[in-house]
Amino acid sequence: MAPMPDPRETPHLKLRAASDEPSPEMSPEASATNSHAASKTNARTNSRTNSRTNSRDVLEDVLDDLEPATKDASTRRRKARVGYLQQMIGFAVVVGLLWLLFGQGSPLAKQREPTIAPVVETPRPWVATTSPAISDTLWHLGLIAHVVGRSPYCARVPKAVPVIGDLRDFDAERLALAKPDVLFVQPPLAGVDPALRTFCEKNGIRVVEQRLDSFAETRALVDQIARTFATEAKSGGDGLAGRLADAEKLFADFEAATAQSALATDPTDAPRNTATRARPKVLCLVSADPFLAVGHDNYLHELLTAEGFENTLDREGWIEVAPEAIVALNIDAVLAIAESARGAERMRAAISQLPWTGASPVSAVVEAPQLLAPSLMALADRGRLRASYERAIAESKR
Amino acid sequence: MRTRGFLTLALILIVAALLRTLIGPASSDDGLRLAFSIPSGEILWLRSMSVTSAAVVGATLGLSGLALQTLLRNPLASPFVLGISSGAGFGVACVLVVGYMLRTSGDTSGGTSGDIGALPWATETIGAVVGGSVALAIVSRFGRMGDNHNPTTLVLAGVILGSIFSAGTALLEHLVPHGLRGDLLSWMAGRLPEIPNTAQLITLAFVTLVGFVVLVRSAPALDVSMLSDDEAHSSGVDLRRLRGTLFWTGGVLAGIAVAYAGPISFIGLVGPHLARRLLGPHHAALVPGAALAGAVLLVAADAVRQMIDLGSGRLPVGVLTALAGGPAFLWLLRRGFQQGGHDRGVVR
Repeated sequence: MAPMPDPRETPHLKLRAASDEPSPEMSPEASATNSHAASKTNARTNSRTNSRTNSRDVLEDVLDDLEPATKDASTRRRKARVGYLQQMIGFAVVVGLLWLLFGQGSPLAKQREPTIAPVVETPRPWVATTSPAISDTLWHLGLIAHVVGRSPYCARVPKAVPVIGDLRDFDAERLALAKPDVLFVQPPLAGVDPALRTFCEKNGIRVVEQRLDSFAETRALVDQIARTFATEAKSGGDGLAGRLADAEKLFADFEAATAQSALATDPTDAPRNTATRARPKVLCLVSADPFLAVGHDNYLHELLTAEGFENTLDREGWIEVAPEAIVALNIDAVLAIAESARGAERMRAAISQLPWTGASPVSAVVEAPQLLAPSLMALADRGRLRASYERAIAESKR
Repeated sequence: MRTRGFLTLALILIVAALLRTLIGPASSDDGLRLAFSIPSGEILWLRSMSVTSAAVVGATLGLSGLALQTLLRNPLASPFVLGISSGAGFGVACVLVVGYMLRTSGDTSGGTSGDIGALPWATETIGAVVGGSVALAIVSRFGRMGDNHNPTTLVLAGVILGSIFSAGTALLEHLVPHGLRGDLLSWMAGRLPEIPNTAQLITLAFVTLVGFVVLVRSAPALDVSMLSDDEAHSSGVDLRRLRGTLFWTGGVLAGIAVAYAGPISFIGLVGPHLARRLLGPHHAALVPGAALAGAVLLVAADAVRQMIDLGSGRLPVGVLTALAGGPAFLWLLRRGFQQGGHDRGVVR
């Protein structure tokens, strides 16, 4: 009897032997399935070779068995390659889109206004700030042209001035390149980072940190600005000296109004919704979704007092109040300060939907974003609160 | 395979670090522009510090993610997904708010003294580590079903716990003056300081090194711990002790990274998976690989964010990692369920 040829010596079975080894491109699952199929086929092949004598038939059988497994493995490999190709194409598309949107030299990016400004025309001293309240004060004093670095929230600083970060996250490189002489900061919760202070000292940047929770602190800020610009307040003076004198007058008027308001009586028997009451009891809202009201110990409470209102909330801070709590308050008016015209509309709608029992109090909504930061601008525009209230009273009488 | 994997990671890290060093706002006669530039002097130092910060924080998060994935035998575990970052963030927020109140309550200047003094950095670190460890302990307790951690329950517990801690942080924001409310929000977006507090950076690097050594020394036991408890016990591994080590290593590393850079998401999740793909499942290679992959991802993210300015300054690094890592997480989740990988503990 002719000896049985070793099936593995045949070209087709060599292929099988090779496919037993996991291919580098093949996933572990694919190779496991393949080798499992291969071992099953080998077992069947061995049993058949014992019972048959015709080696040609055996090989044909083996070939028939092998074909699906080999096809399956190659299909998996092809799928894996296609999947890899798809991933690469997806990655390239994402990178391309990112470049198109934000990349240097992309057609879309070229159309955008440059976000980092020229500084050569900026008059000295150069200042940078990370606080909207500080930049508002600089704007009121006519010093915005000196600003070479801002926070993303400094609305009155031209967009072309580079953003050097916010309270907590400084972009040190832009700060170094902007080269301000002075950096005005409202210290964050953790205080000014000593490392940032050291960096500024090393680079000749004077750090002025000023808390801004009250108008006494705003006054201290104005003093710091006057020192920075080496200018003293001078009534009738030109430029900054005159504007500083105007600021002094604003503070003096504010203090006088506060003192006068404190002396005013509060006759509780006066009728509601009239301007006759010396100090109308008001609830001051800065947001209507949810209702966020002004409590004591902050600059808006000080503004309310100076304008002759009595803040009905006797708690500290900024308080979220429920609609039921608002309607339960015995108040003469709801004063609301909105950041935009749209915000004012929303506030009016929200206040009108409050379920008042009996006569509803007067509601006055004023669109004045400048009142939402303790700056000189807020002080200069404080009269809008009273004017808005008087207007609402007049309308309610009509 | 390992050598090739390490070389690939090292090469990408070098390229990313070079990119970060070359990209930045460049000064010119007509102003400042964002461009490629060869920095020198102070600018070079700032960019190197940024690369160093990103590399160290990335390595810390990568190691933390690996420790947690091994501890919980869950490929979806990471400091962010399990709520540890949120817990650490809440710890830091507590320290910041309480510290601010204590410092300002003793102010006798009538509110006009601008300087409130800086909070010692170590207090933030302690707050973060405590917050992170508490979060890990809670999520580990709630994710346990019998003797084992159920992967889905763990992730759900982590997500819910993260929401609770985030709500706690939002609640704390109500206690600070209106003008400072953005402070916590800004901190939660993550940051990579170019002017690092040297002592804090050195501490972070030292703790990361200790964590690295602990994990490398435990590498053979970590391999065995991926098997069933019975198999691991029969191999002579003290699972209780090993889990304690992994628990503290993962929690402390995540906490200290959050204290330094804020909660940066998805680096701890994607880093170990990237390393596993390039280096295989053995922890002897996976530990340095995860550290390297974490560093690669964060340095690359830092380089990319320099190029993205939507008019409000460069993009916060945490926003970028979340934008890129979120889809990666979903992909891993889908892949894990398709392959039943979450049951085996490994998603390849």
